[in-house]
Amino acid sequence: MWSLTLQRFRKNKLALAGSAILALLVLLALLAPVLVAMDPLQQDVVQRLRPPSWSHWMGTDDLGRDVFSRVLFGTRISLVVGIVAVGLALLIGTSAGLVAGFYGGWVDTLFMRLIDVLLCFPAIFLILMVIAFLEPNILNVVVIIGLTSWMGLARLVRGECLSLRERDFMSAARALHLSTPRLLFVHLLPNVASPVLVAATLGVGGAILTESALSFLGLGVQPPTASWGNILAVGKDYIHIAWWLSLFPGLAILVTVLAFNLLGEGLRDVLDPRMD
Amino acid sequence: MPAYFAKRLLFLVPLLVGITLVTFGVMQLAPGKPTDMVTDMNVKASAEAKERLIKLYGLDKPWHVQYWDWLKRFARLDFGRSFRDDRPVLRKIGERLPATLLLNVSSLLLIFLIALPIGILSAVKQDSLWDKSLTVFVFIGFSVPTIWLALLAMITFGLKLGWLPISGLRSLTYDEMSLGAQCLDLARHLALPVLVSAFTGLAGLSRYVRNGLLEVIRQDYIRTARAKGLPENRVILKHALRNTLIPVVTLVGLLLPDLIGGSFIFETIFAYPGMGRLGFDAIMARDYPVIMGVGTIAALLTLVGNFLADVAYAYVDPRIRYQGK
Amino acid sequence: MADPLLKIENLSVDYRRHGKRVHAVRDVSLELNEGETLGVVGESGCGKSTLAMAVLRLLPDRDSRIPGGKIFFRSQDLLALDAEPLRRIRGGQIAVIFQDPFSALNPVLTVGDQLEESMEVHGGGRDRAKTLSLLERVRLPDPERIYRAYPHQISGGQRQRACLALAIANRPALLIADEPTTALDVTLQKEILDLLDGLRRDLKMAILFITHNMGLVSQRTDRLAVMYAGEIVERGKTADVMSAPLHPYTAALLRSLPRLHKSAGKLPIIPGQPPDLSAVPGGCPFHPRCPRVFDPCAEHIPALLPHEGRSVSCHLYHSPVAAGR
Repeated sequence: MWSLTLQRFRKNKLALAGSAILALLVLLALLAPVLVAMDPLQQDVVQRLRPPSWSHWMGTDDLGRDVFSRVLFGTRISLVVGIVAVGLALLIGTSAGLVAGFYGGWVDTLFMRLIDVLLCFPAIFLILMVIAFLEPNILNVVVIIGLTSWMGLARLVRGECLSLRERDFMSAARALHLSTPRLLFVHLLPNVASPVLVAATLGVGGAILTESALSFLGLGVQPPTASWGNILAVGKDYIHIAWWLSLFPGLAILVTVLAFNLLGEGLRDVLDPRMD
Repeated sequence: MPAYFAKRLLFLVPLLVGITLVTFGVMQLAPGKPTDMVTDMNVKASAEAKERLIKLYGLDKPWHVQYWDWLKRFARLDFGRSFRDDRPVLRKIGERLPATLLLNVSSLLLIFLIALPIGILSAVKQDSLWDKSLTVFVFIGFSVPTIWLALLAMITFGLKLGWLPISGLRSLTYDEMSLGAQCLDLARHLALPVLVSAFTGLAGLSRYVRNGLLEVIRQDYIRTARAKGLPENRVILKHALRNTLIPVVTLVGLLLPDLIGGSFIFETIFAYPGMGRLGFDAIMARDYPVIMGVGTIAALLTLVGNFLADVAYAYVDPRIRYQGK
Repeated sequence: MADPLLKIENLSVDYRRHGKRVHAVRDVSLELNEGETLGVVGESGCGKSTLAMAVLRLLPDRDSRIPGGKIFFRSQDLLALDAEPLRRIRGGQIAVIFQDPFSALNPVLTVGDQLEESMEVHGGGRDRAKTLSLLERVRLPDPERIYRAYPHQISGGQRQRACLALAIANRPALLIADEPTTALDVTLQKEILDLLDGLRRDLKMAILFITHNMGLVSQRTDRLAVMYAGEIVERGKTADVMSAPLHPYTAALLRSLPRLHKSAGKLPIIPGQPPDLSAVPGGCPFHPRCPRVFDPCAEHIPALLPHEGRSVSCHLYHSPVAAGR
């Protein structure tokens, strides 16, 4: 079973391209301090707002900091925020979905109505609203993105649970008087793992986009920390004179999110052979 | 049909209650009494404004009483007065809402006008170079940071080429223009924000139309349509497209929250005088009554949009329209 | 003698399924004269429906291929026709009625519209009175109501009558009936078949009747072709084939029919499964299931050759050596 999946993975161009780009990004994030000669926080007033050149090949920002260093260090923020936020969403969404799908009845109704309500709020404004009351910092950003992006996962898990519940092996398991948690974790979870993995991978891209938008608006990761959204925000201030401040961090976001989306779509093909 | 609408309307009630609960809940999030924060962080909030906020949320009463009182005000859409200029929140929103609706309706129209032909062409020419380009476009559409797209569009079309204005909704000389020139001026100001905010939806909808059409083309009734000698373009444009478009109607409901959410960002970037920018400015100034008002109105807009999409769906699908007849 | 109405010569059809090539129809030849009814019988998956759909080129372009053969309709090669002349024949001179009336009609268009459209594209224009008389002709009660109805508002039997009306709308010379009653219950089956018989006489149509049920074709066809694994194994006058089947497969099909006068006892079924068309056994494809299998069967492919006024492909009648293979 696993070797077959692995074999299909190796043949899937989307999945391969996505994971190759991601591997490279992780490597860059880890090696960032080694790879760049300049400290991303090092200011140099003489060298401010310089266009790309051999010494600063993505140019410098308004405080004379090297944009390449900042973009490279920004990789760390984006990957961490994206993955941790989705991890949180995964935890909430899977639990809510399992509980709703397994117990059904009013528990199910309650969860589903809650999800309907939360989906009425444009996610970004719900996040902005909450951030407005709290301090904007990386932890709050991660938590709030997680708290506002579990709904799709919960619906997915619930749907899978409901269809699995009707299948033979579940009634067989119930007939054997297996306990509820055991039923949930041993029998249901492995069955919902594939679609959840796909949705979560695609979700990381979305979380990274949200973080960059928040930081861009000044409500995410706070300067002077190098985050792609922060660099873009400076880019907007100097839009008339320093195009490089806008171009490069956005390109980094595009490539990163694209990698997660390619991997997610690839995984969908690999894990769901019905679609071929 | 009336029974169906009644059911749908009834379904809105718990959602509406939920929306008020969430808004009320967010207000309670603030550490300590929200009013403490107000006075600490917002110098413009006078003692009088603070009093009013305490009264609005009834912060000295037990929470269920607070909620009930607040709900009664909510029913009249009374969100209190702004801390910044002491004007009623609802009036401030009312001034900005038309611009936001203009932006979002234009985006929605643009999405449909472009995505439909793109999707149809890709399905009809499946696996062609065109179809493969669409796949690439869809991947990019879902991955591109729209803030970045906005900046690039501003740099390219606004600054380098100088074709379009990059901010605001009207030129300074708007009032002196003829009607035709005014419309053109509005359109030129709308062009960049609309294009940028439509981008992601464009990718999503064209993929949806393509896949939906491919699915429908496999159905037996399409074979029947071909077997009775209909020209291929009629098979596609009449028989297949109608069936594909029915679920697309509900997609409007799904696109809306994204579009409205996007307005908070685009209106800020393009200095566009809409509700999103009002909300964003309120957040920056910790103008709580305005924040809560804008958030609630945005959720209500989504709710109404979803309801209208449901109604439209029922109308275009005869299987629901003539239910039980 | 005049040319036959329909003449299929050495037709083969391949499918691509999960990357494998499937030979659904192999080297099939058939003739059908004006006004004649030909039954094509075989188990599901024997290629009979593929054969029927190939006549009007209604097979999916992407997954199917016709590597060889010709289909002449009134001496015109259908496989060589351009889109426009082919379209004029579809639903004009050749019409089809499909197996499943529940999916054969477009759910979002009224029955009347779907009928009128068929006459319109064949130059008849939109004529409500003509459409209503067509509905009466297939004995639909309350034609006014059916005319305005959407498919989901009428019963399965009514839908199949509507499909029949669609098929005869332009007075075709040939009607291809692909299992037209399989999806209906037994009482409805007889009604539809009787109606079909009546229409055939009135309109002097030829019918290509595809079915898995030998019982249905015994009374209502002039000639029979029995298919197995994509090939014709026996072909002849219906009365001859039914009274004295030559091929062991035909005999087995006949034995498996329920008979009214023979009560009790289990119906004999044909042992084994019809072969997977991507891996047909060597020699005679029927030999693994054949009760009369002998030496040459696994070695040599039998050819369809004349025997006692009909054609049969079986080594019992033609020794492989004599057949020149």
